[in-house]
Amino acid sequence: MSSLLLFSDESSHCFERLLPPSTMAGCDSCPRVQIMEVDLLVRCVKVVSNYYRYLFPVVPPCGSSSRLASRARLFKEYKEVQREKTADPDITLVCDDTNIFKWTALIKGPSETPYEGGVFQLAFAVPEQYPLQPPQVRFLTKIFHPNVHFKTGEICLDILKNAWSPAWTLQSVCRAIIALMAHPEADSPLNCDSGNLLRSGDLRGFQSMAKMYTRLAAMPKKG
Amino acid sequence: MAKQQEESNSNPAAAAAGDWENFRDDDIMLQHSAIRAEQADKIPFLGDKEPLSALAAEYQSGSSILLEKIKILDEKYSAIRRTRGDGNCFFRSFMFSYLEHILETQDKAEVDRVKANVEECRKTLQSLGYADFTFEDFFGLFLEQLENVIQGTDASISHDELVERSRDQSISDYVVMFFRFITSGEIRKRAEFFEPFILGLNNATVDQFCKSSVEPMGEESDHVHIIALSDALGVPVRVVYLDRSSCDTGGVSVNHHDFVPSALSSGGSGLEINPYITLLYRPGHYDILYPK
Repeated sequence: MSSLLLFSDESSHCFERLLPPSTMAGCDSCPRVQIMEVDLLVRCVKVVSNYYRYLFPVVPPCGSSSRLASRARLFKEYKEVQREKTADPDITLVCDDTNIFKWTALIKGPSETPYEGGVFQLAFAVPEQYPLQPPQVRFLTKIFHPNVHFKTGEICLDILKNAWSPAWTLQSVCRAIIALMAHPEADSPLNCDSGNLLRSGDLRGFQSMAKMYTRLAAMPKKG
Repeated sequence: MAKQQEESNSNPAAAAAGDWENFRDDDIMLQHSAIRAEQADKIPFLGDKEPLSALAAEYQSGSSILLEKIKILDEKYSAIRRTRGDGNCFFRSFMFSYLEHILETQDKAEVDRVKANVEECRKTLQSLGYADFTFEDFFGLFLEQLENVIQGTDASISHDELVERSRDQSISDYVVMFFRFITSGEIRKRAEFFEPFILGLNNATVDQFCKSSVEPMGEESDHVHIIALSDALGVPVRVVYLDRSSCDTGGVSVNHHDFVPSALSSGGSGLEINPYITLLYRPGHYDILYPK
Protein backbone atom coordinates (compact mmCIF):
# COMPACT_ATOMS: atom_id res chain seq x y z
CA MET A 1 0.00 0.00 0.00
CA SER A 2 2.62 2.48 1.05
CA SER A 3 4.84 1.54 -1.84
CA LEU A 4 2.04 2.44 -4.25
CA LEU A 5 1.59 5.80 -2.61
CA LEU A 6 5.26 6.53 -3.06
CA PHE A 7 4.94 6.23 -6.78
CA SER A 8 1.85 8.32 -7.11
CA ASP A 9 3.51 11.55 -8.18
CA GLU A 10 5.80 10.27 -10.85
CA SER A 11 3.54 7.64 -12.27
CA SER A 12 0.50 9.86 -12.54
CA HIS A 13 2.68 12.30 -14.40
CA CYS A 14 3.63 9.63 -16.89
CA PHE A 15 0.10 8.44 -17.00
CA GLU A 16 -1.10 11.85 -18.06
CA ARG A 17 1.43 11.94 -20.82
CA LEU A 18 0.33 8.56 -22.08
CA LEU A 19 -3.33 9.39 -21.94
CA PRO A 20 -4.06 13.11 -22.07
CA PRO A 21 -7.16 14.24 -20.15
CA SER A 22 -9.10 14.75 -23.41
CA THR A 23 -8.63 11.11 -24.34
CA MET A 24 -9.78 10.03 -20.93
CA ALA A 25 -12.81 12.26 -20.99
CA GLY A 26 -13.98 10.87 -24.28
CA CYS A 27 -13.48 7.28 -23.45
CA ASP A 28 -16.60 6.38 -21.60
CA SER A 29 -16.68 3.02 -23.24
CA CYS A 30 -13.13 2.32 -22.28
CA PRO A 31 -13.18 0.01 -19.28
CA ARG A 32 -11.47 1.43 -16.24
CA VAL A 33 -9.43 -1.70 -15.85
CA GLN A 34 -7.39 -0.86 -18.90
CA ILE A 35 -6.38 2.48 -17.51
CA MET A 36 -5.35 0.75 -14.34
CA GLU A 37 -3.26 -1.65 -16.34
CA VAL A 38 -1.44 1.12 -18.16
CA ASP A 39 -0.81 2.76 -14.83
CA LEU A 40 0.49 -0.46 -13.38
CA LEU A 41 2.72 -1.04 -16.36
CA VAL A 42 4.23 2.42 -16.00
CA ARG A 43 4.93 1.64 -12.38
CA CYS A 44 6.49 -1.72 -13.15
CA VAL A 45 8.74 -0.29 -15.82
CA LYS A 46 9.85 2.39 -13.41
CA VAL A 47 10.56 -0.10 -10.66
CA VAL A 48 12.63 -2.31 -12.94
CA SER A 49 14.60 0.54 -14.48
CA ASN A 50 15.29 2.05 -11.08
CA TYR A 51 16.38 -1.29 -9.74
CA TYR A 52 18.86 -1.66 -12.57
CA ARG A 53 20.13 1.82 -11.96
CA TYR A 54 20.92 0.80 -8.38
CA LEU A 55 22.49 -2.43 -9.49
CA PHE A 56 24.71 -0.96 -12.16
CA PRO A 57 25.51 2.61 -11.32
CA VAL A 58 27.53 4.08 -14.15
CA VAL A 59 30.79 5.00 -12.52
CA PRO A 60 33.03 7.10 -14.75
CA PRO A 61 36.75 6.22 -14.71
CA CYS A 62 37.66 9.16 -12.55
CA GLY A 63 36.26 12.30 -11.01
CA SER A 64 32.97 10.52 -10.63
CA SER A 65 30.37 13.07 -9.73
CA SER A 66 29.41 13.01 -6.11
CA ARG A 67 25.88 11.89 -6.94
CA LEU A 68 27.14 8.68 -8.48
CA ALA A 69 29.60 8.10 -5.68
CA SER A 70 26.89 8.57 -3.08
CA ARG A 71 24.53 6.32 -5.01
CA ALA A 72 27.17 3.58 -5.10
CA ARG A 73 27.79 3.93 -1.38
CA LEU A 74 24.07 3.91 -0.57
CA PHE A 75 23.61 0.79 -2.62
CA LYS A 76 26.32 -0.91 -0.57
CA GLU A 77 24.49 0.15 2.58
CA TYR A 78 21.27 -1.15 1.09
CA LYS A 79 22.84 -4.56 0.48
CA GLU A 80 24.31 -4.56 3.97
CA VAL A 81 20.92 -3.75 5.49
CA GLN A 82 19.34 -6.62 3.54
CA ARG A 83 22.06 -8.99 4.64
CA GLU A 84 22.02 -7.98 8.30
CA LYS A 85 18.28 -7.65 8.60
CA THR A 86 18.07 -9.59 11.81
CA ALA A 87 21.33 -8.36 13.32
CA ASP A 88 19.73 -5.45 15.15
CA PRO A 89 16.13 -6.14 16.11
CA ASP A 90 15.68 -2.59 17.36
CA ILE A 91 16.18 -1.02 13.94
CA THR A 92 14.26 -1.50 10.71
CA LEU A 93 15.80 0.56 7.96
CA VAL A 94 13.91 0.80 4.66
CA CYS A 95 14.91 2.50 1.45
CA ASP A 96 12.28 4.30 -0.58
CA ASP A 97 11.35 2.15 -3.57
CA THR A 98 12.06 4.81 -6.16
CA ASN A 99 14.67 7.01 -4.56
CA ILE A 100 17.79 5.64 -2.90
CA PHE A 101 18.38 9.06 -1.32
CA LYS A 102 15.25 8.71 0.83
CA TRP A 103 15.11 6.24 3.70
CA THR A 104 12.82 5.56 6.61
CA ALA A 105 13.70 3.84 9.84
CA LEU A 106 11.61 2.40 12.61
CA ILE A 107 13.46 2.29 15.91
CA LYS A 108 12.36 0.81 19.19
CA GLY A 109 12.48 3.01 22.25
CA PRO A 110 15.28 1.76 24.51
CA SER A 111 14.25 -0.22 27.59
CA GLU A 112 14.25 1.41 31.02
CA THR A 113 13.51 4.77 29.43
CA PRO A 114 10.17 6.56 29.05
CA TYR A 115 10.34 5.58 25.37
CA GLU A 116 10.22 1.86 26.10
CA GLY A 117 7.51 0.07 24.18
CA GLY A 118 7.26 2.79 21.58
CA VAL A 119 8.21 2.54 17.93
CA PHE A 120 9.55 5.75 16.44
CA GLN A 121 9.73 6.60 12.79
CA LEU A 122 12.73 8.50 11.40
CA ALA A 123 13.00 10.13 7.98
CA PHE A 124 16.38 10.25 6.25
CA ALA A 125 17.12 12.66 3.42
CA VAL A 126 20.55 11.84 2.06
CA PRO A 127 22.45 14.64 0.30
CA GLU A 128 24.26 14.12 -2.99
CA GLN A 129 27.60 14.66 -1.24
CA TYR A 130 26.97 11.68 1.02
CA PRO A 131 29.00 10.16 2.65
CA LEU A 132 31.17 13.28 2.90
CA GLN A 133 28.13 15.09 4.24
CA PRO A 134 25.73 13.71 6.83
CA PRO A 135 22.20 12.59 6.10
CA GLN A 136 19.41 14.83 7.35
CA VAL A 137 17.45 12.86 9.89
CA ARG A 138 14.34 13.77 11.80
CA PHE A 139 11.69 12.13 13.87
CA LEU A 140 8.37 11.72 12.10
CA THR A 141 6.89 10.34 15.32
CA LYS A 142 6.22 12.96 17.97
CA ILE A 143 8.68 12.60 20.84
CA PHE A 144 9.31 14.53 24.05
CA HIS A 145 13.07 14.67 24.34
CA PRO A 146 15.43 17.57 25.12
CA ASN A 147 17.43 17.11 21.92
CA VAL A 148 14.55 16.68 19.50
CA HIS A 149 12.56 19.64 18.21
CA PHE A 150 9.00 19.11 19.34
CA LYS A 151 7.43 20.49 16.16
CA THR A 152 9.83 19.59 13.38
CA GLY A 153 11.40 16.42 14.78
CA GLU A 154 14.85 17.84 14.07
CA ILE A 155 17.58 16.10 16.08
CA CYS A 156 20.48 17.81 17.83
CA LEU A 157 23.29 15.29 17.58
CA ASP A 158 26.92 16.14 16.85
CA ILE A 159 27.45 13.33 14.36
CA LEU A 160 24.64 14.73 12.21
CA LYS A 161 26.41 18.08 12.13
CA ASN A 162 30.11 18.89 12.52
CA ALA A 163 31.27 15.55 13.93
CA TRP A 164 29.97 13.58 10.95
CA SER A 165 32.36 11.28 9.11
CA PRO A 166 31.92 8.69 6.38
CA ALA A 167 32.77 6.03 8.96
CA TRP A 168 29.14 6.37 10.08
CA THR A 169 26.39 4.58 8.23
CA LEU A 170 22.63 5.03 8.16
CA GLN A 171 22.43 2.00 10.44
CA SER A 172 24.97 3.32 12.95
CA VAL A 173 23.24 6.71 12.90
CA CYS A 174 20.09 4.90 14.04
CA ARG A 175 22.08 3.31 16.86
CA ALA A 176 23.43 6.72 17.85
CA ILE A 177 19.89 8.11 17.94
CA ILE A 178 18.74 5.24 20.16
CA ALA A 179 21.69 6.02 22.43
CA LEU A 180 20.65 9.69 22.47
CA MET A 181 17.13 8.66 23.50
CA ALA A 182 18.59 6.81 26.47
CA HIS A 183 21.04 9.59 27.34
CA PRO A 184 19.47 13.01 26.76
CA GLU A 185 21.77 16.02 26.80
CA ALA A 186 19.68 18.48 28.75
CA ASP A 187 22.28 21.23 28.50
CA SER A 188 21.93 21.69 24.75
CA PRO A 189 18.18 21.45 24.32
CA LEU A 190 16.13 21.86 21.18
CA ASN A 191 13.07 21.24 23.30
CA CYS A 192 13.52 23.68 26.17
CA ASP A 193 10.50 22.51 28.18
CA SER A 194 11.92 19.04 28.23
CA GLY A 195 15.45 20.26 28.92
CA ASN A 196 14.29 22.49 31.77
CA LEU A 197 12.47 19.66 33.51
CA LEU A 198 15.66 17.61 33.52
CA ARG A 199 17.88 20.52 34.47
CA SER A 200 15.69 21.46 37.39
CA GLY A 201 15.92 17.89 38.58
CA ASP A 202 12.28 17.07 37.93
CA LEU A 203 13.02 13.62 36.62
CA ARG A 204 9.53 12.43 37.43
CA GLY A 205 7.93 15.28 35.52
CA PHE A 206 10.16 14.63 32.52
CA GLN A 207 9.52 10.92 32.53
CA SER A 208 5.75 11.23 32.78
CA MET A 209 5.64 13.74 29.91
CA ALA A 210 7.93 11.61 27.76
CA LYS A 211 5.96 8.48 28.60
CA MET A 212 2.67 10.17 27.82
CA TYR A 213 3.85 11.22 24.36
CA THR A 214 5.28 7.75 23.77
CA ARG A 215 1.83 6.30 24.51
CA LEU A 216 0.05 8.90 22.42
CA ALA A 217 2.30 8.89 19.39
CA ALA A 218 4.56 5.87 19.34
CA MET A 219 2.29 3.01 20.35
CA PRO A 220 -0.54 1.39 18.42
CA LYS A 221 -3.89 2.88 19.33
CA LYS A 222 -6.06 0.64 21.44
CA GLY A 223 -9.40 -0.41 20.09
CA MET B 1 5.95 8.80 3.80
CA ALA B 2 7.72 10.39 0.86
CA LYS B 3 5.39 13.35 1.04
CA GLN B 4 6.33 14.18 4.58
CA GLN B 5 10.00 14.00 3.78
CA GLU B 6 9.61 16.72 1.21
CA GLU B 7 8.91 19.13 4.01
CA SER B 8 12.44 18.75 5.25
CA ASN B 9 13.53 21.28 2.66
CA SER B 10 14.78 24.33 4.47
CA ASN B 11 12.99 27.55 4.75
CA PRO B 12 14.95 30.53 3.42
CA ALA B 13 11.93 32.80 3.74
CA ALA B 14 11.85 32.24 7.48
CA ALA B 15 15.56 32.96 7.69
CA ALA B 16 15.16 36.21 5.76
CA ALA B 17 12.33 37.36 7.97
CA GLY B 18 14.53 36.86 11.01
CA ASP B 19 12.01 34.38 12.30
CA TRP B 20 14.25 32.42 14.60
CA GLU B 21 11.48 30.10 15.60
CA ASN B 22 11.59 28.62 12.11
CA PHE B 23 15.30 29.03 11.56
CA ARG B 24 16.47 25.46 11.51
CA ASP B 25 19.72 23.58 11.45
CA ASP B 26 19.29 23.03 7.71
CA ASP B 27 19.34 26.79 7.25
CA ILE B 28 22.47 27.10 9.35
CA MET B 29 24.15 24.38 7.34
CA LEU B 30 23.09 26.08 4.11
CA GLN B 31 24.64 29.28 5.37
CA HIS B 32 27.82 27.42 6.29
CA SER B 33 28.13 25.96 2.83
CA ALA B 34 27.51 29.40 1.29
CA ILE B 35 30.37 30.81 3.35
CA ARG B 36 32.57 27.91 2.28
CA ALA B 37 31.68 28.50 -1.35
CA GLU B 38 32.63 32.15 -0.98
CA GLN B 39 36.01 31.11 0.48
CA ALA B 40 36.46 28.63 -2.33
CA ASP B 41 36.35 31.46 -4.85
CA LYS B 42 39.24 33.15 -3.12
CA ILE B 43 41.70 30.26 -2.98
CA PRO B 44 41.44 26.86 -4.63
CA PHE B 45 42.13 23.66 -2.67
CA LEU B 46 45.61 23.90 -4.14
CA GLY B 47 47.24 27.09 -5.40
CA ASP B 48 49.85 27.66 -8.10
CA LYS B 49 53.56 27.41 -7.41
CA GLU B 50 54.74 30.82 -6.25
CA PRO B 51 58.24 32.17 -5.55
CA LEU B 52 59.07 32.77 -1.89
CA SER B 53 58.97 36.49 -2.59
CA ALA B 54 55.19 36.10 -2.68
CA LEU B 55 55.38 34.98 0.92
CA ALA B 56 57.59 37.92 1.88
CA ALA B 57 55.13 40.31 0.24
CA GLU B 58 52.47 39.07 2.65
CA TYR B 59 54.48 40.26 5.66
CA GLN B 60 55.87 43.49 4.19
CA SER B 61 54.31 45.59 6.90
CA GLY B 62 54.50 42.87 9.49
CA SER B 63 56.96 41.38 11.93
CA SER B 64 60.63 41.82 11.14
CA ILE B 65 61.38 38.41 12.64
CA LEU B 66 59.15 36.81 10.02
CA LEU B 67 60.77 38.72 7.18
CA GLU B 68 64.17 37.70 8.53
CA LYS B 69 63.07 34.09 8.60
CA ILE B 70 61.67 34.21 5.09
CA LYS B 71 65.08 35.42 3.93
CA ILE B 72 66.64 32.36 5.52
CA LEU B 73 64.01 30.13 3.94
CA ASP B 74 64.86 31.67 0.61
CA GLU B 75 68.34 30.16 0.82
CA LYS B 76 67.02 26.61 1.00
CA TYR B 77 63.63 26.74 -0.63
CA SER B 78 62.64 27.98 -4.03
CA ALA B 79 58.87 28.05 -4.00
CA ILE B 80 55.68 27.70 -2.06
CA ARG B 81 52.32 26.26 -3.08
CA ARG B 82 49.40 27.34 -0.96
CA THR B 83 46.46 25.23 0.09
CA ARG B 84 43.03 26.32 1.22
CA GLY B 85 42.71 26.87 4.95
CA ASP B 86 39.66 24.72 5.46
CA GLY B 87 41.01 22.42 8.15
CA ASN B 88 42.13 19.85 5.57
CA CYS B 89 45.27 21.73 4.49
CA PHE B 90 47.73 19.24 5.97
CA PHE B 91 46.12 16.29 4.20
CA ARG B 92 45.74 18.16 0.91
CA SER B 93 49.37 19.29 1.06
CA PHE B 94 50.45 15.75 1.84
CA MET B 95 48.37 14.38 -1.02
CA PHE B 96 49.73 16.68 -3.68
CA SER B 97 53.34 16.63 -2.49
CA TYR B 98 53.42 12.87 -2.38
CA LEU B 99 51.75 12.28 -5.73
CA GLU B 100 53.87 15.00 -7.35
CA HIS B 101 56.98 13.30 -5.98
CA ILE B 102 55.93 9.97 -7.48
CA LEU B 103 55.04 11.64 -10.77
CA GLU B 104 58.44 13.29 -11.01
CA THR B 105 60.58 10.38 -9.85
CA GLN B 106 58.51 7.54 -11.36
CA ASP B 107 59.70 5.56 -8.34
CA LYS B 108 57.86 2.28 -8.84
CA ALA B 109 59.52 0.64 -5.85
CA GLU B 110 58.08 3.40 -3.65
CA VAL B 111 54.64 2.88 -5.16
CA ASP B 112 54.81 -0.84 -4.39
CA ARG B 113 56.05 -0.12 -0.89
CA VAL B 114 53.29 2.35 -0.11
CA LYS B 115 50.66 0.06 -1.62
CA ALA B 116 51.75 -2.68 0.76
CA ASN B 117 51.38 -0.24 3.64
CA VAL B 118 47.93 0.78 2.42
CA GLU B 119 46.91 -2.89 2.45
CA GLU B 120 48.19 -3.12 6.03
CA CYS B 121 46.04 -0.13 6.92
CA ARG B 122 43.04 -1.79 5.30
CA LYS B 123 43.55 -4.81 7.55
CA THR B 124 43.96 -2.53 10.55
CA LEU B 125 40.60 -0.87 9.88
CA GLN B 126 38.95 -4.24 9.33
CA SER B 127 40.31 -5.58 12.58
CA LEU B 128 39.11 -2.43 14.35
CA GLY B 129 35.60 -3.27 13.19
CA TYR B 130 35.14 -0.77 10.38
CA ALA B 131 32.81 -2.09 7.70
CA ASP B 132 34.63 -2.34 4.37
CA PHE B 133 32.06 -0.30 2.50
CA THR B 134 32.63 2.69 4.76
CA PHE B 135 36.22 3.18 3.62
CA GLU B 136 36.86 1.16 0.44
CA ASP B 137 35.75 3.92 -1.98
CA PHE B 138 38.28 6.29 -0.44
CA PHE B 139 41.03 3.68 -0.61
CA GLY B 140 40.14 2.91 -4.20
CA LEU B 141 40.33 6.51 -5.29
CA PHE B 142 43.75 7.07 -3.70
CA LEU B 143 45.20 3.89 -5.20
CA GLU B 144 43.83 4.99 -8.56
CA GLN B 145 45.66 8.34 -8.31
CA LEU B 146 48.81 6.51 -7.29
CA GLU B 147 48.66 4.34 -10.40
CA ASN B 148 47.75 7.21 -12.67
CA VAL B 149 50.83 9.28 -11.87
CA ILE B 150 52.99 6.42 -13.12
CA GLN B 151 53.54 7.13 -16.80
CA GLY B 152 53.19 4.80 -19.72
CA THR B 153 49.62 3.56 -19.35
CA ASP B 154 46.37 4.72 -20.92
CA ALA B 155 45.29 6.12 -17.57
CA SER B 156 48.50 8.07 -16.95
CA ILE B 157 48.10 11.72 -16.09
CA SER B 158 50.33 14.73 -16.60
CA HIS B 159 51.48 17.16 -13.94
CA ASP B 160 48.78 19.62 -15.04
CA GLU B 161 46.13 16.95 -14.67
CA LEU B 162 47.39 16.13 -11.20
CA VAL B 163 47.00 19.79 -10.24
CA GLU B 164 43.55 19.79 -11.77
CA ARG B 165 42.52 16.67 -9.89
CA SER B 166 43.84 18.04 -6.64
CA ARG B 167 41.55 21.02 -7.17
CA ASP B 168 38.55 18.85 -8.03
CA GLN B 169 36.49 18.50 -4.90
CA SER B 170 35.18 15.04 -5.71
CA ILE B 171 38.75 13.71 -5.90
CA SER B 172 40.53 15.93 -3.41
CA ASP B 173 37.99 15.42 -0.63
CA TYR B 174 37.99 11.65 -1.17
CA VAL B 175 41.77 11.49 -0.88
CA VAL B 176 41.66 13.67 2.24
CA MET B 177 39.15 11.26 3.69
CA PHE B 178 41.39 8.33 2.75
CA PHE B 179 44.20 9.90 4.80
CA ARG B 180 41.82 10.52 7.67
CA PHE B 181 40.88 6.85 7.74
CA ILE B 182 44.55 5.83 7.62
CA THR B 183 45.39 8.27 10.42
CA SER B 184 42.52 7.16 12.60
CA GLY B 185 43.33 3.48 12.08
CA GLU B 186 46.97 4.02 13.04
CA ILE B 187 46.10 6.01 16.17
CA ARG B 188 43.60 3.39 17.29
CA LYS B 189 45.95 0.52 16.53
CA ARG B 190 48.68 2.10 18.65
CA ALA B 191 46.31 3.60 21.20
CA GLU B 192 48.73 3.02 24.06
CA PHE B 193 51.43 5.02 22.31
CA PHE B 194 49.16 7.90 21.34
CA GLU B 195 47.04 8.07 24.48
CA PRO B 196 49.32 10.36 26.54
CA PHE B 197 49.68 12.83 23.62
CA ILE B 198 45.94 12.91 23.12
CA LEU B 199 45.22 13.30 26.82
CA GLY B 200 47.59 16.25 26.91
CA LEU B 201 46.07 17.76 23.79
CA ASN B 202 42.40 17.90 24.63
CA ASN B 203 41.72 15.56 27.49
CA ALA B 204 39.86 13.03 25.38
CA THR B 205 40.04 9.28 25.03
CA VAL B 206 41.63 7.85 21.89
CA ASP B 207 38.21 6.86 20.59
CA GLN B 208 36.72 10.30 21.24
CA PHE B 209 39.73 11.98 19.65
CA CYS B 210 39.52 9.87 16.50
CA LYS B 211 35.77 10.38 16.22
CA SER B 212 35.83 14.12 16.82
CA SER B 213 39.23 15.33 15.59
CA VAL B 214 40.48 12.87 12.98
CA GLU B 215 37.63 11.32 11.04
CA PRO B 216 35.40 14.36 10.40
CA MET B 217 36.35 16.49 7.39
CA GLY B 218 37.63 19.96 8.22
CA GLU B 219 39.15 19.02 11.58
CA GLU B 220 42.63 20.49 11.75
CA SER B 221 45.71 18.32 12.02
CA ASP B 222 48.17 18.38 14.86
CA HIS B 223 51.43 16.57 15.55
CA VAL B 224 49.48 13.46 16.47
CA HIS B 225 47.90 13.30 13.00
CA ILE B 226 51.21 13.83 11.24
CA ILE B 227 53.03 11.19 13.29
CA ALA B 228 50.26 8.68 12.68
CA LEU B 229 49.98 9.26 8.93
CA SER B 230 53.74 9.33 8.42
CA ASP B 231 54.15 6.10 10.40
CA ALA B 232 51.23 4.30 8.77
CA LEU B 233 52.35 4.97 5.22
CA GLY B 234 56.07 4.97 6.01
CA VAL B 235 56.48 8.39 4.43
CA PRO B 236 58.80 10.90 6.14
CA VAL B 237 57.61 14.50 6.37
CA ARG B 238 59.55 17.66 7.13
CA VAL B 239 57.68 20.56 8.68
CA VAL B 240 59.32 23.97 8.62
CA TYR B 241 58.02 26.41 11.20
CA LEU B 242 57.43 30.02 10.37
CA ASP B 243 56.38 31.84 13.50
CA ARG B 244 57.55 34.77 15.57
CA SER B 245 59.67 32.78 17.99
CA SER B 246 63.32 33.69 18.09
CA CYS B 247 66.40 32.54 19.98
CA ASP B 248 67.68 34.50 22.93
CA THR B 249 71.17 34.32 21.52
CA GLY B 250 70.19 36.91 18.98
CA GLY B 251 70.45 35.05 15.72
CA VAL B 252 67.23 34.21 13.95
CA SER B 253 66.92 30.66 12.71
CA VAL B 254 64.12 28.68 11.16
CA ASN B 255 63.18 25.54 13.01
CA HIS B 256 62.07 22.42 11.34
CA HIS B 257 60.95 19.05 12.55
CA ASP B 258 61.32 15.80 10.69
CA PHE B 259 58.61 13.22 11.16
CA VAL B 260 60.43 9.99 10.51
CA PRO B 261 58.29 6.85 10.33
CA SER B 262 59.04 4.47 13.17
CA ALA B 263 59.80 1.75 10.63
CA LEU B 264 62.68 3.85 9.25
CA SER B 265 64.04 5.31 12.46
CA SER B 266 64.04 2.10 14.47
CA GLY B 267 66.65 0.71 12.09
CA GLY B 268 69.02 2.88 14.12
CA SER B 269 71.34 3.34 11.19
CA GLY B 270 71.43 7.08 11.87
CA LEU B 271 70.77 7.50 8.19
CA GLU B 272 70.08 11.03 7.03
CA ILE B 273 66.47 11.05 5.94
CA ASN B 274 65.68 13.07 2.88
CA PRO B 275 61.97 13.71 3.14
CA TYR B 276 60.17 14.36 -0.11
CA ILE B 277 57.30 16.09 1.56
CA THR B 278 58.23 19.47 2.99
CA LEU B 279 55.51 21.59 4.50
CA LEU B 280 55.58 25.15 5.72
CA TYR B 281 53.73 25.56 9.00
CA ARG B 282 52.39 28.88 10.08
CA PRO B 283 50.30 28.67 13.24
CA GLY B 284 47.08 27.01 12.17
CA HIS B 285 48.01 26.31 8.56
CA TYR B 286 50.15 24.13 6.30
CA ASP B 287 51.39 24.94 2.78
CA ILE B 288 53.79 23.08 0.50
CA LEU B 289 57.45 24.10 0.26
CA TYR B 290 59.80 23.27 -2.60
CA PRO B 291 63.47 22.75 -1.63
CA LYS B 292 66.12 24.06 -4.01
